Amino acid sequence: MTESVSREKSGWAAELKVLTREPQILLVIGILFVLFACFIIYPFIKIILVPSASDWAAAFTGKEFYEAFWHTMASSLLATTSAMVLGFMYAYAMNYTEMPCKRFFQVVALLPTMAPSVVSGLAFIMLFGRRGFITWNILGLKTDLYGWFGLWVVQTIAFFPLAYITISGVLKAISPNLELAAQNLGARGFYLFRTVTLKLATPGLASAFLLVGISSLADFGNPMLVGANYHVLATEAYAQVVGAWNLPMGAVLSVVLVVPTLLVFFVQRYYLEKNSYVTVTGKPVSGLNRVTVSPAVRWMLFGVCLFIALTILLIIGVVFMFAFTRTFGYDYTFTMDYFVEGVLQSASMKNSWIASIATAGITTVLGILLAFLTLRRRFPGRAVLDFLAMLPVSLPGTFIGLALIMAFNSGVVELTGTLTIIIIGMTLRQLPVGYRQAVAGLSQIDKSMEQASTNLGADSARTFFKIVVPMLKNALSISLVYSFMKSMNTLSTVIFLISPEWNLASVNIMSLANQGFLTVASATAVGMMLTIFATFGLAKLLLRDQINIFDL
Amino acid sequence: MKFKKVAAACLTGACLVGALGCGGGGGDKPKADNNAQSLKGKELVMYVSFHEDTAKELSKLFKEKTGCEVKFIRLPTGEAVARLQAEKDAPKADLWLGGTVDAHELMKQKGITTPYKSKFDENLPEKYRDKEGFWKGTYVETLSIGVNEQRFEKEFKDKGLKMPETLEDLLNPAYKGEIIMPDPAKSGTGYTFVSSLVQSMGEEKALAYLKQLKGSVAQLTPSGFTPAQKCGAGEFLITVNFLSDQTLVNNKGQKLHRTVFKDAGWSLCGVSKLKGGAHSAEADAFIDFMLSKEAGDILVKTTNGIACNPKSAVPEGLKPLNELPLFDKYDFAQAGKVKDELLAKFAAL
Repeated sequence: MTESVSREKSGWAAELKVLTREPQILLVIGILFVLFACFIIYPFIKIILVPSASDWAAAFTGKEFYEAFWHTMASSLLATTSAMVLGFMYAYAMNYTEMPCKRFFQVVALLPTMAPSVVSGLAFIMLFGRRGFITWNILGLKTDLYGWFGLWVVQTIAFFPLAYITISGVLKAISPNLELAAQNLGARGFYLFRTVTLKLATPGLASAFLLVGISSLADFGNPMLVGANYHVLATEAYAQVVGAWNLPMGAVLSVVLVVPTLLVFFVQRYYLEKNSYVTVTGKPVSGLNRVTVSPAVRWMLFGVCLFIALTILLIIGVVFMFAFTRTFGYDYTFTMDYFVEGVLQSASMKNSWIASIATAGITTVLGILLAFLTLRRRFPGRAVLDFLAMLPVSLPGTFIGLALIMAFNSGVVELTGTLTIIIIGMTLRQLPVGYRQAVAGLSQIDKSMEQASTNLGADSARTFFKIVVPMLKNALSISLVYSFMKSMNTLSTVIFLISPEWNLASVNIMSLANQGFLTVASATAVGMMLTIFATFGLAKLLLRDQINIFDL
Repeated sequence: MKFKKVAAACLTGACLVGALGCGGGGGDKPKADNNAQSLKGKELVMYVSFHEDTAKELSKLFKEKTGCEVKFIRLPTGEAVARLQAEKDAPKADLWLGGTVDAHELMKQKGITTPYKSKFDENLPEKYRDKEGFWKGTYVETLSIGVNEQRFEKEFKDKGLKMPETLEDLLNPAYKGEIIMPDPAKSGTGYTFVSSLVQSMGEEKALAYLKQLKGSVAQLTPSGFTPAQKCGAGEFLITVNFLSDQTLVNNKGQKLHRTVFKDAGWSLCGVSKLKGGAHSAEADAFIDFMLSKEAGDILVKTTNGIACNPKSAVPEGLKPLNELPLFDKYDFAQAGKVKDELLAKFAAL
């Protein structure tokens, strides 16, 4: 490995030479490259080779293609912006104010991630749609959510939790001493916020924007449910494959989604690498209290948080009503039948749990390793590794799934139908989250502490475990918690990976909902939320202060 | 005296039935027993595009009869097609059960399925099975117009409108924005509607009709089932999709008035054996089983479709196949051949 690469450019050679002094690091980098080559590059090449030149030509000459492309860009930009704005206000309120019911808000904010979008999206339509419980039955309004507006609202709710926890992690990592210093120098209110807090939060915010933006580009469930005649690339790609049985065209549309990802990626990289945003420097900050906001701002923020929380609760409430009443809207008799059928008599919840726990663990470890290497070590191919870690999130999940079965259906590594391939699929999907969280956390921490550790004689591994990991507790927690929740109800990625032995609860929920069994689907979704809560409770019990669950 | 006569008649009858039963079963029984022994401890893996409960009941009965374990997952037709193609070089299943027959035809052309001539093929009329034995029909799906009864009574009856039951009725401007149907470009159900219209009316007339109808349609959905669901929920008044989907919604309590309109298009749900599956003999046995009357009865009971096996019962409240006003000459092969061309024309309307 060393020899083969060192024959390349001299700059690389120099970097490699430094690295050879740390064989462990070299080994880890080598392993990561091999893993990425196997599980990201190889499947991606497999699927990119499906369409022929004429398929590409056909796609680029159709007007549907351009329409779907602009729809995707527009809806994604809208939803990302609104989710970021709401997420920022929410996170700011949680971290910078003393408002009542904080714990309640923290728990509710994560709920949209716990319920599969199939169920919560349907619940949203039942509440506010053409025959919505609220819009039609109570208010008598004629509304129609199908189209870009409904999609905007639904995607905003769907991506709000990711925006919130990512931003919250960023705000938490900002050391209060700079803000206090600014305050001592006379900065107040919005001026202080704009010139200090916001400035320091910038890399984190950019990172969050990238993450949310790219996730929403590939979002499939929401446009499928409420987009109706407003087609986006992810739904078009899916429809081309499963509706028109045109795999090549679906592949073309999916690959196109990589373009905006590349764009966002380079802009962000260029922008971030120019500036330093280090605030955690190892100087003592304990005992310092954060500057808090004025009462007027506090109550305004409280209002915003309450509104968001109530909207979320309303939607989840409908899911519960579906799960535990005979026929919601007609017969409100309490029943446990659906819960028994969907959760207690089904093995798929256990499968989902096993796969999701494994995914959360792998994602978090890989994420922090990658972040540490790309930010703190110089080696050839650093940018490639960085990009590859982000690539899978921009592809529609169905394509990750299809690419994986095409790549690993036969031959040396035969994985179709196994638990392994499910975990690989889930990990590819969640890795960017774990990685981005670690990057955001790490870029706020001064290198000097690691250098101090090295100077005191610790090697890379020791520095990593003793210095880096403990400082990234919150980033690690976010990665664990979020990728666990997301994997539990991920759908598009695993649709093609499940097998009779390894069926998953999320696929069951969609299958049931699509067959009209909304009640059992909702009950399974409730079971999933309970499973997630129970797991978090257990984690808190076992790990105590070593993990943050809701105070992210 | 009278009593004796009746008793004698009963006895004769019983003997006759018994004899017939033995005679009829005589050929089958030992074979079934052989199967029971030979397939005990064996297993079969299926991809199923039927509803879950249909698949469960079929596998249960098959296991009772043969001792063979059945493992399956449910995949909607389109997902099954994508997956079968991706797994072509090393299939992970032995059998594909359910899914419209045009998809089975495609799998045949792509060399993914393999022919099997069953000795029970004769159980099905010829038009319900592939001549070369690649696929067999299981039940027939027919298109139907579904109307949300509650909404029609409340909002439309007073306007002097009569229940929409014909294709012409759908063009009434009163229903503009209230009709939902599957997208022909993305759903087999939707395409069946368009192509059967073109075949029965002639292309020019059909496209003129579709152009007018398209102006009234609020949503073209990617899934064939969604329209029935949204119509049941009252979001839209009228749905045009498969009768069995409408019946499913109806039986859950959201009443839909269903009419199989004149010259309605239809489709078959098929079963095919996959080339290179690990359990070939088991797959053959399952296809034999699918051709039986009992399997047909399960299909009827759980899907509300009409079984291809004429001996199976007809769903409650439905007429047998030959009495429905279906478009009898509907040609799957022709429909598949002109698909791209026709869809382009539909998109341009």
